[in-house]
Amino acid sequence: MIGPGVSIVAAGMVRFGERFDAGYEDLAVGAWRAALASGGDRLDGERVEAAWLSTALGGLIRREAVTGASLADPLRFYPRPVTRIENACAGGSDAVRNAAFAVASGVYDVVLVLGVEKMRDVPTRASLIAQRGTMSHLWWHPRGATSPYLFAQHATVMMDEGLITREDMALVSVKNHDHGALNPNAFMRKPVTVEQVLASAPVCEPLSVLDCCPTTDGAAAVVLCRSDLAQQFTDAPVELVATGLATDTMYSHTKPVFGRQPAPTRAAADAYRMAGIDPGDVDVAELHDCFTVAELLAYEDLGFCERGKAAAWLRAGNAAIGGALPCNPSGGLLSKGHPIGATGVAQLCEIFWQLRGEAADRQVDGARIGLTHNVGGNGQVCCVNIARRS
Amino acid sequence: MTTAGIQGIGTYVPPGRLPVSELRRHWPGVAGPGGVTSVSVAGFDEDVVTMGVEASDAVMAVTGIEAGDIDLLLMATCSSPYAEHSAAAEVARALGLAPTAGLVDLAGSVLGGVQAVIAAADAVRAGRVGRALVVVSDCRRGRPGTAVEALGAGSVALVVSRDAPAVIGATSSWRHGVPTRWRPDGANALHHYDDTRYELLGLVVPAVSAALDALDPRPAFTAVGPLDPRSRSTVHRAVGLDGDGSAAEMAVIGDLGSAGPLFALAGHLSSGSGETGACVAVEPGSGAAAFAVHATVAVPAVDRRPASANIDYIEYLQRAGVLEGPVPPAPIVPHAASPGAARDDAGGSLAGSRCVACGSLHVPPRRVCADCGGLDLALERAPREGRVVTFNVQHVVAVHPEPAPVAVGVVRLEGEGGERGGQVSAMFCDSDLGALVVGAPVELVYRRLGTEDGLVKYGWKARAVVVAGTRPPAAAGMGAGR
Repeated sequence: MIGPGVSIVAAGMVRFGERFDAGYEDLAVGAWRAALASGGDRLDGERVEAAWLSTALGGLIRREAVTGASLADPLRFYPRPVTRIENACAGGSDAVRNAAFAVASGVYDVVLVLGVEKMRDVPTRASLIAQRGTMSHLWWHPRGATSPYLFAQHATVMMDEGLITREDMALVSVKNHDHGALNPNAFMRKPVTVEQVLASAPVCEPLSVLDCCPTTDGAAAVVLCRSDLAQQFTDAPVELVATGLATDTMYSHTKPVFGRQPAPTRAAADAYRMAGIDPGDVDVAELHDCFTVAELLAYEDLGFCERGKAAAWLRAGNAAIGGALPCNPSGGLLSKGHPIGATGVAQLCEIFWQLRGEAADRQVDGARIGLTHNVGGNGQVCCVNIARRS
Repeated sequence: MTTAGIQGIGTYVPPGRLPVSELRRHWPGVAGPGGVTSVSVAGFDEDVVTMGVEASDAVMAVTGIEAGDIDLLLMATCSSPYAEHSAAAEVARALGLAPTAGLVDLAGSVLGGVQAVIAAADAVRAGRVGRALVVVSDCRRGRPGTAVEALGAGSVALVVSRDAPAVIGATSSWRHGVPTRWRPDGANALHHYDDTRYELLGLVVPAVSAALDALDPRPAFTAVGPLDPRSRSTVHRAVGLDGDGSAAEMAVIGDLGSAGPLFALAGHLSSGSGETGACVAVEPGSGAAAFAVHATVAVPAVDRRPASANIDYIEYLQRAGVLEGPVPPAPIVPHAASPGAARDDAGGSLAGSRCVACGSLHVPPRRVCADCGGLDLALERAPREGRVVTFNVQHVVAVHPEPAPVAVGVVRLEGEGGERGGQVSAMFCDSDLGALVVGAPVELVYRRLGTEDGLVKYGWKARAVVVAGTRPPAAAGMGAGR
């Protein structure tokens, strides 16, 4: 429990994709309206007292400063307080975390968390480079490094040590595309086969195009409130019971080891302790599968399986809908898409729907405890949030 | 009287080779350089600065001379990346020379290499400096479709000091004629008055003869350049002296410009023949410059030469910048000339910081130890050898002008412990990407890392450890590469 208790009472998102039809403001307003609509007549936007905005690449792609006003203006939210959070790809979950702390402190009763990213106003290649710009020291990140490199470097070592195979990674893509095909808000809704993944164009060996999440436009929003007020807004609130945040080095060359990530392990340990649960208690998880190998790393970093057993755990069907611990029923970043600042918030939207039994074709039966795992940069920051059906 | 001499020689030839047959295929009927079958070509990430650093590094290693021992650096080249800005300063920064070391740039004439050695010897003899490093490096090219299109690329670095094994004796200079080769202001390629017989018999031979006649005593052999092997034979016959035995080698690497005569001399000095030789630079229309050298014992020499690989004419033109693809969008980074870039330039000489408490080495330098949190760190130059920890071949990557794919990874520095320290991030170069494996030995080499507004960004790349190049028998006396 976070302080006296914080609950999620509304969630909404726009359809993720290459939204050539929608600008940053359109996406932000779309997610806000969707969240309000999910609360029906009982959630009045005027009750929301403050907001946290997560956008990662605003300055690099929009070439303009992103501030609290970037949310306040399009939503006509002013003069209410809005804090902008930027923490690489983990910004969305960190915004949830900080908003929850504000509620837990007693300063606010009802707050909004909104993540939004407009990436496809530039070519995918330029967007990739913008991400590279935020990830590390601008001169010392090695020339030629890209986003997939930051995870592919783990894959090289894990393959060299015989812990995973190329096919194991492809199976993550297959599973998440299968899930995403069931999600109307997902970007890439077409199932893929192992053969298609292996035959897709190489990007950063051993990763190919279908091992990589797509460059995505999108926005997502959740409304948090004091748990003792939650029934005012919905009959089925979801409690946000724990949050963990951890950091690690910015650089590849100061990583102590490849094939595991210290920050997610620490963030998860803190979150499990705060929630009073073990990894085995988690019923459904949204993982940061920006690249296929990242999901395999996550199984071990989060304690879903033993070290070195990720591939076997996946192949046993545990991570699929219907398995022991379904991972990424939304389709994950690989299929649903990865609008950087919105991702962590969208992960929590999915958990909200799963725990309320509203996930339709992709529903995980009987899910009571859900987890989001949101990794920034090369693993330099990770936020793990845990929610429970009230 | 104090003597000045050559204490050691390092040479470097880049791996790229353009077969002359490629030129003949695209420009039938154009005469190529006589007796040359291929020319060496600088890589996308190489220029006279990086090649000069390679040769300097080689000579410093073979002589055991440290950066702090060098009082003066003379850099001679006709193909500096800059029309204005000191190439010598770029090399000095990469080598980590003392900021007090003198810098001299000789540019715009292939006589510059020999002139630099003469100037260095004069400075040493006068007692003005104890030890000078002469760096001579060129990667010229002529206009497409001309007889001088295919020129080679390579570098030589010599340490000139007192009491060295190869004593520099008499020197001479001879001005003669009007030019038949010139590169106009703003042009990238050499222009040529197309009468090679006049050039050789009317300009080269008279200038070399006069310069040799002015040397006393008359030498027993001559290392003359830059000339193609056939022209060199003609000169040797005309002046009645033996050559230096480098003809076979020159036939596969071509005309090295200002580095040509010194490169030819290197093989001979390393054998320590005991004969007096003459090193002569000649430039048609400018004249010749010469120094006599007498080696009583073998001069320490090392030749750095990665295994060669042929390229086709299209790649040759791409490397030369004649054919240029679209420049990819650049990440938003501070300008390479900004104060922030200058602050980080400690890395130019591969500086690291070592934790006094736990011994971990951090490259680039850190203010706080990544392993133990120690606040007391001392700067030192990092080791150059290491092993691949992890790497990835990237097919979608925004680097320019190198073509994809490129490899990037992490290297564990040789002999360095520490859990988070002791490693560097680097792009790989000159490597067979398919042969990279975890654990492979690599060395860090200085390379171009792109340009910004015409300003070259230099830094370190990792290269699969150089296998000693096979040199022709005539030069077999030279030391093997590391």
